[in-house]
Amino acid sequence: MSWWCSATGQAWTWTWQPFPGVWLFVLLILGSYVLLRRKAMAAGVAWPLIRDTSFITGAILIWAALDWPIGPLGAGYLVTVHTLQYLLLGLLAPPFLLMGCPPEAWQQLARNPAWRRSLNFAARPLPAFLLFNVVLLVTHLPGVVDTLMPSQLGSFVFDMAWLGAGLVLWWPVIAPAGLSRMSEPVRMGYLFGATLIPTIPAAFLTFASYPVYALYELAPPVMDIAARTDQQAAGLLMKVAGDLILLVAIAIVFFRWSASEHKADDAERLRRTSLSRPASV
Amino acid sequence: MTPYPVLALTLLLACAPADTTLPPDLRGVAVTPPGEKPEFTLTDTNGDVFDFRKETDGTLTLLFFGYTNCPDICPVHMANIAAVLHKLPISMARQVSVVFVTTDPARDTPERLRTWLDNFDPEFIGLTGSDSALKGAQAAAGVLAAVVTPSSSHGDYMVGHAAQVLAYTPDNLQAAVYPFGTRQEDWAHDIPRLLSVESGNQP
Repeated sequence: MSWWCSATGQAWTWTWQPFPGVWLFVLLILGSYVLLRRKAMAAGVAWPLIRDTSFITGAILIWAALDWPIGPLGAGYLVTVHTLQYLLLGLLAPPFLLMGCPPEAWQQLARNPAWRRSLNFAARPLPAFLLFNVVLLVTHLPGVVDTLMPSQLGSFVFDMAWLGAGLVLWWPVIAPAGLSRMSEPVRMGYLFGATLIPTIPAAFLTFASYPVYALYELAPPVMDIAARTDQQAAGLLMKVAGDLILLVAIAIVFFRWSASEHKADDAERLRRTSLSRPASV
Repeated sequence: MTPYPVLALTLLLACAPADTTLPPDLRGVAVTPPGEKPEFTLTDTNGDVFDFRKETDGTLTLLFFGYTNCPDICPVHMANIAAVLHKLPISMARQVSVVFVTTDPARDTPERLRTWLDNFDPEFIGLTGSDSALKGAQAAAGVLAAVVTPSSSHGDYMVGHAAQVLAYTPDNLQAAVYPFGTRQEDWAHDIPRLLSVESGNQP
């Protein structure tokens, strides 16, 4: 029995396999959330159900990315599924996790000076952007993939790197007022910028003449998928699905900004209207 | 100087055994000194007699012993070779003979062998035969005879077999051995070089 998914070199089988390390990790995430929630609510922070839904969605996405069958398929058989894991861990799950806490909870956490310093620093867009993209590029280098994925520890490091980098990428976007440093237009530009660097590994995967990862090229075949076809599909998935996720986020930021601007305009109009009315005698 | 010593020297050199010079940068494991291409006769997927040495004479021959129920080594080797051959110019690809000899004649009927090989390339040659003929072919090629290993699931069995592809240059000498782990870019690098090898010539 393996604790974490890794490349084993064994023929693929559709027989379910347990990975208790994954279950423990997801339980740890959920347990930490419950504790944080309980503490915040005890301090008077309102906790809408939508927040719970968001966090649980993020935890489910993490579990799906790491557990059977996506976990072992991505760890040792198909680059396409490995890329799906990157999308789930790095781009999809983190915003759901971060939105699982209401802004008041983050602000309450930030009353602790150490937490405040950390959250403020993490909200800086440039370091966050650089860190995410460095992790993205390094974790797609053939030497790194071929070396780390065959071991459970290496595969764990990979998965945590993506999840951690994703949380770092999304925090400047989701951080509430007082912690965030970006206006809405800047957030949209930041998210758009995040679509650019992934083009590099995606292009390599799509246009390389031969498979770039020995791990996946020499893996026992799954469903007779050719290694190069799998790799090309992975490159397209990384670019198309990755951009789609970020573009949806840009749209959400835009519409929220637009709605808040309209609200502000309406409030200003109401204020001017009430000022211009003659006082009744 | 009289012409007779020069003539004698020329005749002496002409009669000396040929010496294939392999490219120095081969990614496969060069066989030095190169051995002769083995001689054995089996049955192809059409049911016809196939004289290995005669039928592959003058081609770059890639010989592999495996079986169609193999979960990993065999399909990966065949897929990688096929992928590279499909990218080579047709004139070059036609000079390559890929010969797959089954080590599991009980399950690998000629029909099954043909269907399996067609997944990779319809030009791949599949050979089968009696147990003794197949053992003889493996011995002639200098590889260990395959061994049947019972599998834990469903009463099936696995066949332990040599995992390397044997490469013979067009001059019918064994040039190199390609173990499992040989990648498509390695084949793409070596196949043109092996095709250019001729007896006594520099690449």
